[in-house]
This record gives sequence, C-alpha cells and structure tokens, in this order.
Amino acid sequence: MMGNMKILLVEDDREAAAYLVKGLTESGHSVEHAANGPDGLHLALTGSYDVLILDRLLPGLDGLSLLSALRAANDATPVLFLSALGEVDDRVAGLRAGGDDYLVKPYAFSELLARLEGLDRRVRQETASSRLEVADLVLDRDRHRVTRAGQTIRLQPREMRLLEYLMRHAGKVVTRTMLLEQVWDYHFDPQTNVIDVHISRLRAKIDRDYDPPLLHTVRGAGYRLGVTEE
Amino acid sequence: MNVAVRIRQWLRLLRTTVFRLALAYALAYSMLTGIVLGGVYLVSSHFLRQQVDTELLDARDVLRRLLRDEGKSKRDLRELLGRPGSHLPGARLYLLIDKHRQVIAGSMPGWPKGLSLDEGFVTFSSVSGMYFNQMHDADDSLMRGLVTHLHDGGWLLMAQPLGEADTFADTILALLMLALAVISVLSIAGGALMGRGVLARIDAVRETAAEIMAGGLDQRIPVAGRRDEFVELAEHLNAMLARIEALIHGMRAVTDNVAHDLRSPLNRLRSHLEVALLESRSSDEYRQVLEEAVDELEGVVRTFNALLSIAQAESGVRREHLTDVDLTALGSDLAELYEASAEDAGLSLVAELAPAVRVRGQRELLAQALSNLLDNAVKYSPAGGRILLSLTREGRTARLRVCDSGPGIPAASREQVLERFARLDVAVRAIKRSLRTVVSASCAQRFADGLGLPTELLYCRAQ
Repeated sequence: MMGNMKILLVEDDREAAAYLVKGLTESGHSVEHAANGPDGLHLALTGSYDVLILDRLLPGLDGLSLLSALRAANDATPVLFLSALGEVDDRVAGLRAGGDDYLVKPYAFSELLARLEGLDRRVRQETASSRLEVADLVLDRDRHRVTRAGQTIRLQPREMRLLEYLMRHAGKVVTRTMLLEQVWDYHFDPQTNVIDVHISRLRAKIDRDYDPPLLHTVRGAGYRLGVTEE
Repeated sequence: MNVAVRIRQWLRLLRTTVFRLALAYALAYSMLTGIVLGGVYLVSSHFLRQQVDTELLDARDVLRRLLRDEGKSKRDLRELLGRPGSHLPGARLYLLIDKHRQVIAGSMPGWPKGLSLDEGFVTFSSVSGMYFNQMHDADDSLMRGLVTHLHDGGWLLMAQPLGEADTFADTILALLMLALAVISVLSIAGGALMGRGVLARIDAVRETAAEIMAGGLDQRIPVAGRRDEFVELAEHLNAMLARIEALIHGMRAVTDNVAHDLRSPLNRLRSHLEVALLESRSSDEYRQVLEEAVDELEGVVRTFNALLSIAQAESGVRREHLTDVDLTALGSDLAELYEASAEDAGLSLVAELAPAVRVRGQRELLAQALSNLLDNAVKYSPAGGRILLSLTREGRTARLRVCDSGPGIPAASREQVLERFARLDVAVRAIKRSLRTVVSASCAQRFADGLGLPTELLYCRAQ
C-alpha cells in the first residue's frame, strides 16, 4: 500500500474537519486544513499536495471558484469534492469544473479513503501502461489477454474492464460505487448486491484454481486486489 | 361606508379595463358621429346655397321680363317693388341703382361697401344691418346676392340671407352635441356597470385567493352562470389549485413519512448507543456496538436518499437538464449488470430491446429507476422464475418494461402504491419493497405519459 499522501482539506465545518483530519492521519496520511476558501486557495497554490479535498460551499470563496482559480494557475492536483448538494446536476457541475471525484454527504469514511487513494496522482501516472501485473496475474490490454501462472483465463469484456480497474488500483480499496462509476459508467445507488455478484464471478475465474487468493473483500468498504489480505 | 372608501371604490372602477374600453369606444363613436354629421352639414349647406342661387336666377328672369317684354320702366318697378310688403319672388331684398349709382329703388339702404359691380353671384356680410330694412332681424348673417347689369346702364342687386343654412348648421351642431352627450352618458354608465360586473367576479377570485393564502387550501373559485371566459379561467385556476393542493398534501405525506421512516431507525440507534453506555464494557463490545451503529446509520442514509429521490422525481426534471439518452444501451447495460444477480438467485433475465431508441431524459435517474425495478424483480421473484426486460417503441412512446414472475402487487393496492409512500399492508419486508417501488413509479411518472401497471412499467417519450 502506497499510503502517506499529503492532503489539503478545505472544509468550513470545524467538527467534521477535525474528524476527517483525525481519520486521515490515523490512516497514515498527512493533512493540512483550511477553514475557508481564500485560505484554502492560498495553501493549495503555495504548498504541494497529492490530493485536495474541497467542500462545495465555503465561506469567502466557494469550492467551484477555488478550483477554477487553481486550474487557471496551471495546478493539476487531483481534487475531490465533498458536498451536501447531491443532485446529479451538482455532481456534473463539480466534475465539469475540473473536479476529479465527487462525494455526497453523508458518506462513509471508507468510501472517502478509497476514493482519495484512487485519486493520488502518483497512482494515476502509471495508468498509461498496457501491461498490468499483480503477482502472477497478468493483463495484456493490447492483446485482450489475461493469464495467471501462465495459464490463459477467458473473461467477458466487462469482466476484463473490472479486472483492469482493480489491477490499476492494486493494493487499494475500491468501493462498489467506484466500480459502478468507473466500470459501468453509471452513477446511482444500487440497492442490492449487483456488484458483489460480478466480483464473485471474477474471483471464481482468477482465484478459485490458484494460490494465493488475490481478490479480497474489505468488510464495510469494498474490494482490494493484492497478494496480502492486510 | 365612509367617503374615502367610496372614493377608493370609484377610483378602482375607473381603473378597470372595461371602463377604459368603454371610454375609448365612446371617443371613437363621438368622432364617427362628428364626421357623419359634419358631412351631412357640408352636403346640405351646399345644396341650400344652390337652391338660393336658383331662386335668385328665377327672380332676375322675372324682372327682366317685366322690364323688357312688358315695357315697364324703372319707375314702374320702383312703384311695384316699393309698395310695402311686396317683393320679387325668390329675392327677399333688392336694390336698383342707375348708372350714376344713385339708388332708384330697393329694400337696402345702399350698395354694400366693397361689393363690385361685376355681374354674377356674390356673397357678402350684412354687418350691423346697415342695408337691411326693419323686416329683418339684423345680425351679421351672410347674404347671397346676384348682381345684374341692366341694359340702360343701371344695376340690380338681389339678395337672400343665408340664415336658413345657418339655422341648419345650428341644428346639426345641436344634434352632434346631443349625440355626444348620449354616447358619453351611455358609455360611462355602461362601462361602470360592466366594470362593476367584472370587478365583482374578480373580487370573487381575489377573495378565494385570500382564503387560500389564509390556509383554506380546499377553497375554490365559484363557477356559476353562463359559460364565458371568466368561467373558463376560473375552471383552469381551480384545476391548478387542485393540483397544488394535491402536491401540498403529498409534501405533508412526505414529512409524515420522513418522520416515520427516519425516526424509528434513529430511535433504535440512540437506544442502542445509550444502552451500550449504561455499563462499562470491553473494547470488543464497544467495537461491536459501534459497528452495528454504523450499519444502522447506513440504513438511515439509504432511506434518506430514497426519500430525496422521490422528492426530486416528484418535483420534476428541469427541462434544461435533459439530455439524449440511448435507452437501448441503458437497457442492455443494466440487463448485463443484473444478469449475474438474477442467475445467482436462480432466475433467468432476458432482455428484449428494440434497437436505437433514444429519449430526452436524465440518464442517471432513468438508470436508477430501472435499477430499482430490476432490484425488486430479482429480490422478490421465486427461484426458477423469469424476468423480462423489454424495450418497445409504440408511436412516440418508448416503453421500458420489467415483468417478473413474482407475486406482484395486489391489484387493489396498485393505486395506493402510486400514492406517495403508500405501503402494502403485508409485512415489514413488503414495506421496504413498496417504498422502493414508489421510487421507481415516481421516477417513471416523471418521464411518462402515464402508468398502466404501476410497478413494472417505465414509459418515456421517444424522439
């Protein structure tokens, strides 16, 4: 696990911010906190962060404007929006303004953590490669081929995309909603275990006949692809 | 009623559209009447003048005959015309002068000042009546005269006052005034009367509005009497009021149900935590309580989101947020998403999708609605059953339908299911189900022409 991201949190709700700082620090990241828009922008422009957490509604300068100012200054630090505005349009507005992800309050801390790690720009730099490897599992994008321990595994196109996403985020927790967004390109709240079923099918293909198991379920959060269960 | 109120009421009446219209019409009619009567005046005064001219010519002919054919001398003429009461036919006044311009005979004191001696018709003024004899009530009326050059060098002037024409003009003017007066009185009275009628009806609407604002949501504008535009308007407003009332009742139901759906789990959560705090426990026990609390909270958030979805769907989708949605692709994506779950539950999910059906809509909301329908179908169909997801195009309507072999909703309850938060009176499990079903139905209704089978249909307007 890569861990130890440098995070800037811009959130005016001091209590919520305190919890977040505590949670993120205990998860091994270093966090700086700004309680209003102007301070947040100043810190973002002067400091160097792996990821920013921006509240949409901030005193002084709202989240969207802050982001615009940041992007105008050629700062491409990944940004995750936190917002109590949960409608589809608000989310679209946040992403269109240059946000990289959007979480609606109330959110599960595990979801936030997983998304932050997915946004870490050090992870994102690797995403261009077409050959992915986790232990003896290999995905060759160009040849549409997956092998484990040298044996070819036949996957459906969607299973291929699912596996690719998991492998690009190997060692990190990915949540069900992240998978639905990234692999199926839908953003809604599935009430049942639809994603779990797809995961278990994928697991049957890549894990059942091999050792050690690679695709782990993280209770209360989602899934992680990796050698150790942690 | 005091004077101020009375004045205010009258001012209000004066401001009504009907009253202003009446005044405008009065003005228009007055102008029209003026034009017509003016025309009559011009035509008839011309006619009268012609008649005077003809009479004057006739009189000259008579004189000529007397002088020439019957050999009468001017002296005879003077005697003839000089007798009191006698006059030439057609000419009230005359004057005979010789070539030295000495008056020989006549009923005028002398040749009018400034009047030339050229033959022909003349019009002159009888200022101060200096050339009238006493038989005329002398004022400054106009005279019409005919100048004739006699063969022996004298001149004859015959004249008639144009008083008749003046009188006629006076009559016309009087008529015009009368007409204007009548029109004004009629239109002001009529305008006021009609204005009062309109005001009375508008007051009825205003009073209803006031009552509604005061909380009487069930009040309606009285619709009575013949069918006219007011009745039509009242009916439309009443329909709108009925819709608003229904929406507000719906909102009240939401509040009630939010209270119900959130209070119970929040209460459980609170008791759970409070009980845990009653005694000191091991950290493992605390951890367990906290985990359970988080799970409980998860349920609360989920319910809360469902409630918000309903509210959002109920309030409608703003037009500018609609995009082109490929329903065929959406159907096939979701079928693929749910196929595995269905298979695990021992169900077969079959998708029959018409190709290339596109609609205007919100993709995520449509996906959410369809996902809810599929969720329900997978959850509640008995193993071995079959789920059919079909997309058909019927005219301008795209129909997305999820049919399952589950128990369905009792026909008697379907209407209720469409009512916000209505619950099936079955079991706690069914309560959750109906809540979610309503989310679907509610979303569906937003995009829909209408719902046939409440829980299983999703209509969209196809392009």
